[in-house]
Amino acid sequence: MKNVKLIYIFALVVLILAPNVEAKKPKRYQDVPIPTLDWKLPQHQEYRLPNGIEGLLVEDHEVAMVDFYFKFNAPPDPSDKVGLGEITAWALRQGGSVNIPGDSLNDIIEFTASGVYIWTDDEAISIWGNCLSEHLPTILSLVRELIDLPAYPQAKIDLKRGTMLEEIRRKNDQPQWVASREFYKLMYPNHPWGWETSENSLSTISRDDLLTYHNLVFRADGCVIGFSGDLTLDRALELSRQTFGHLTQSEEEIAGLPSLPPPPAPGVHYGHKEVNQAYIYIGHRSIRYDDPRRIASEIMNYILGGGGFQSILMKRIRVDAGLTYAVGSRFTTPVEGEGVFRAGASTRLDQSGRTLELLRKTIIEYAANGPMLEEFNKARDAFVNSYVWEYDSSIKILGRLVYLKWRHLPLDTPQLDLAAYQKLTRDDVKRAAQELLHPDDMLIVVVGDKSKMDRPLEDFGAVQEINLSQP
Amino acid sequence: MLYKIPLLLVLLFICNSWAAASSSGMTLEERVNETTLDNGLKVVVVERHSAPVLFALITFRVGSCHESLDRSGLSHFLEHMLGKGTKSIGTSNYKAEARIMARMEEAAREIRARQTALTNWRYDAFDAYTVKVKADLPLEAREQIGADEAIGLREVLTRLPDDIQELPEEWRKSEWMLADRKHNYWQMFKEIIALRVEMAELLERQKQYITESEPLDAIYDPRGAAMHNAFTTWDQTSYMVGLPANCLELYMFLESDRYKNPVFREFYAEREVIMEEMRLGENNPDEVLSDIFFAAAFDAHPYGRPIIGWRSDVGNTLRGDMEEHFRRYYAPNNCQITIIGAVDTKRVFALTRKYFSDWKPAEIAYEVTVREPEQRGEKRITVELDAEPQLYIGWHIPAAPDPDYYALEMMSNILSMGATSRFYRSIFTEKQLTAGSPYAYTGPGDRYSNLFIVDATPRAPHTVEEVETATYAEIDRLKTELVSAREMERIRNRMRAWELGRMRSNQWLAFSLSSSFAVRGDWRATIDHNRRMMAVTPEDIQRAANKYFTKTNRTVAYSVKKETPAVESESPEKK
Repeated sequence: MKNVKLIYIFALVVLILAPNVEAKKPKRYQDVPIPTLDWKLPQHQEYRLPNGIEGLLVEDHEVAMVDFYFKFNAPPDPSDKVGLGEITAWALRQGGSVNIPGDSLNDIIEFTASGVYIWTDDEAISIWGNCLSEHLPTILSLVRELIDLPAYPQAKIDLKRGTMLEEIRRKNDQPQWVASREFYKLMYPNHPWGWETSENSLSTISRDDLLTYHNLVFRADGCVIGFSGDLTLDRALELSRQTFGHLTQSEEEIAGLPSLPPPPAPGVHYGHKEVNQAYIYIGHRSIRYDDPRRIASEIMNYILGGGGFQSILMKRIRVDAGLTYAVGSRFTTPVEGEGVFRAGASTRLDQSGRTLELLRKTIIEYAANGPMLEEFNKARDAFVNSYVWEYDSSIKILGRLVYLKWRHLPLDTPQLDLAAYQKLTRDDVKRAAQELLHPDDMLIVVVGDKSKMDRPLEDFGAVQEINLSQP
Repeated sequence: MLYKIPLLLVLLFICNSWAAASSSGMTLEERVNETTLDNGLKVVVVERHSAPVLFALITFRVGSCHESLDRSGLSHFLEHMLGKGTKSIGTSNYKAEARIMARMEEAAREIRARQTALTNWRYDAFDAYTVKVKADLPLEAREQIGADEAIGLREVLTRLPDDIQELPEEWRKSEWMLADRKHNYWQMFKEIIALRVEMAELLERQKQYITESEPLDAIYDPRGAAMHNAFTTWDQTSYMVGLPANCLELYMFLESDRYKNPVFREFYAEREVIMEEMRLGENNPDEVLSDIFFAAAFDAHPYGRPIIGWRSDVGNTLRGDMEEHFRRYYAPNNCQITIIGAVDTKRVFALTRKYFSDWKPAEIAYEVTVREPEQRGEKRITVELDAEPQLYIGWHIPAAPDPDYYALEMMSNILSMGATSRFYRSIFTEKQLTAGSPYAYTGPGDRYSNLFIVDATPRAPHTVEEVETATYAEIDRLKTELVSAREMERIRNRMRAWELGRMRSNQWLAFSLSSSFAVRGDWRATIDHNRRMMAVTPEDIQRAANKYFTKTNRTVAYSVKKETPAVESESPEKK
């Protein structure tokens, strides 16, 4: 850390001594000097507990506060108990421990102005928290209480179930959510990535299910812990031992994500809502993280629809045509399986045919030709120069390091990616567009009122109806 | 092995030593550097050298409150237009563009005049007719038009009959529909379509001179910008960007040009974008309800109007209106630049002088003078929406620095901050009436007298009325019982943590300092705010609760699910 500070001071001295700022104003923005950004990566430290738990520390004493992030492997919800992970995480945190009931736990956490958050996804259960550094031992002892002696009171389980039922009741209130959700359901049928909770799945979840889940996931193997902020390595080690040192390795298998179903057939899916816009999503499956074209795909999508106002979709459909407020695309590359390419826009009904046409046409052209050289250069510069934002906060660094370690990915992934961006050429991106976009193979999801559209939806393919009546 | 900690021991362990918490040992007041240029521009800087980046915010003290009645939405619209480039950036020939834009402006004015003459009901009917004409075009024509607006409109124009005998019978039968003694309305409508074709063609002509349609992004993004955005509230308009620290001078160059020489190019395309943004809100049940709630709560004050404006106002806004609004409010003496990050203060001040000194100040005569008349009785509004119910309750309260304001702010925290708050415990977890904890806050703005708001989502089968009753029970407790010392201290601890936490975030610090300027004209207001919050006593809260939480002073708005018959949607290609 000391070195880092010295570098900044040095950089500042250079800035101050360098060209006199009162000098004449440049005529064009291209003539404004941009000095080299001279900085050194902040360092982190790694450690390992005797039970195999991996630890990470990003020391930063700017303010006497600490953030922590712990990750344990976890299974996806069983297909007949969708919502199990979410209920478990909530009931664990709000239910407290056998010794410290939820209300007392909340009182301690909130009186000390701390935070402890627990959530799950299909592969992990995660705990994030923050507090004044002086309260860290107390807050960590609470975390240990939750792991060792969880209470899971039935009342809290039922309360969470009740709020989730209310969410189901409200799930079709916002047309944009509906379109997005239906897109994923169609893209991943009978797979956790396309599931949603239902009255049925929630009703089968019992306290025993939660306990089984709990006893399976909180163990040493696969666990990664990390701290950032105002603490030293010695203190991090000591507190880690006190909190997690007693956890043991386990033989019991944690189920992984099931393999993906085959991609859906292309076609038009329509959900009827009496609203004055059409909510459009179109796309198809993408690639996995380990695909060698991942880096090229990121820049490919940035230019098409991921790069905000600079993207082709934004310029053509919003800025130049005034057809929409929100338009863009994503191209995801998950570690565990093929992600999605998805472009979308919302637009007034009597322009929605025109918008869908333009969306499709733009993708077709881009898939054929790739980006122009200038577009590519700007995009690559944006990726290379935004690299500093990977390191602008210790909390952000902590989040990334713990994730990468938990995933068994290289901790220097940002540097590796940076080097790859620097090497990339326009041809790589053009090839990525040609290979990775399949405009003839797209799923089209439209939520709105097709009777008021400027073109029959059938112009875009045979239409299948999505039933949006309440379950 | 079990690891037990007796609860009492844990609780005893807790004491706070906040003073030692900041390693630099400097207070916010000591860390903020500021200067004011001769033209009135305020520059506020905090150096934070932990990463080679900066976050910058430019804030103008103008928001949707500062708009005349029939021009709602101008501030937000202007926020959209200030990324469109300047006389030298984003264009290859500004003079040629200016000529085209002048003709577009005339055409837009002619359209507006005709639309006004047609009146809404007639215009809407004709417009729906043309949409139908367009949808009924043969497939070949539809494909030829594709996404081209000018071609599409021209095609439609050729199919709109000249002879009114070809128009729907009910229109011909109606005496006033198509023409009266003075006007041929149908003809006028066709002229509007022709003018629209002309505008689409003019835009195409202008585009040959536009080198970048959103040039600030085009320049910032490749330099590594993040969070480049802008926002408008009732009180303020702000423009933000995060940049690698080596872009400081580029920032000064581009931003000074942005406010000194802006060009509102592609104005009429952007007007459509804003209409789309508005429709997004119209299809969001919660936004519809909150708009109606504020409109019901305020009879006179512009806090009752949506920031984005009313659809008909925005649809009728001309570039000329925007230029007038810009001249009136966008001056250095109505503005603060806030820069936090790895910068040298002296250099920031020097660069600001270099680039912003020649920006001319203006007379800003805008303070909102209208005062909300005293409410004479409870207002209750029901809205029917295609969504599950939602509830808003609001009581009129004064704004800072009225001493009562701080007691009310404190109260909102006691009611709904965190899982230990009263609403969370009693309404959400004990009575289980809501989908989550009801939320209490003050709003919609901060600069003028506003509302104490409770926003709640009922959980079926419980009704809005049950949630309302439970809310009033908690409010009544504040009137009769003093808030406990521990509850007060908990909120104060949270505030101390906030003060500390913002010192490690460029963005958070910048927002604090700029919104204080927006609301009270001085970044120091944030320090004053926190000091006064800390000093609030349980007695202050009790007094304020009794003074403001009356039935007469309250507005209640809630939505109910609209009963719609199931729609059989027709699928012509299916049997």
